[in-house]
Amino acid sequence: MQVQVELYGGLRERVGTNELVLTLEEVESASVSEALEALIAAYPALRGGLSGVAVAIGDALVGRDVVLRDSAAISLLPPVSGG
Amino acid sequence: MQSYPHISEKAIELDALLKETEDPRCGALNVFVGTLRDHNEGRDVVAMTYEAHEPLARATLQGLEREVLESFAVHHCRIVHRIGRLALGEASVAIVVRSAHRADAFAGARYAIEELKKRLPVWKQEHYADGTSRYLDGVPLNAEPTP
Repeated sequence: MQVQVELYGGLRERVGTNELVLTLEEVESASVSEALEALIAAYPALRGGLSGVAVAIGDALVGRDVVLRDSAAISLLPPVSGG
Repeated sequence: MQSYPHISEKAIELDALLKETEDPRCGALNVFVGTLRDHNEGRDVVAMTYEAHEPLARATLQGLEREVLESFAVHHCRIVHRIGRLALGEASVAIVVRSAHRADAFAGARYAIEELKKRLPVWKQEHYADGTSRYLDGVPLNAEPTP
């Protein structure tokens, strides 16, 4: 399955892109947590960089246990600094 | 009348926000504006780039406006945030609260800016006089264990 991943703030700088497609082999679904583990495996630059990172789908924050299916799109939101 | 956008790359127009919230029931108008200053943590700042997760940021600001209206005795609350590259002195955020009496307008505006700083999915990249830049540390939106 494939998951579209959108990166914000310093995460984009770490990976060098604001959007990527993550492929998880031989599964039809995966939790957000599993997707993040796969992401770190594919992009070692993110190791240690997902601390305090929230995950959003559309306009809502989601928990790590939410199940993603093929073609899901998630946004990774590092600690915020608006204002 | 269409309401002023919560998130925009254009310079914040305070006049439009004031006009949108005009109300003869209100004897108090409190405006908070955050502007870009020229220093941070001992470094000379020349500009700042603001980036937002726009769908969530819009929903967050709408929710925060509702919360202020429900939690304080205020008639109007508008909160808008700018994105893109800002020069020194430009407004990054504006909060307009109107109420019958001043205490509620002060309290509502204070609550709005403090909560915004904890909840709004916006990131700042600070640009320095020496040509370097960096993303500022921030507040986690939710603290779940990470792999």
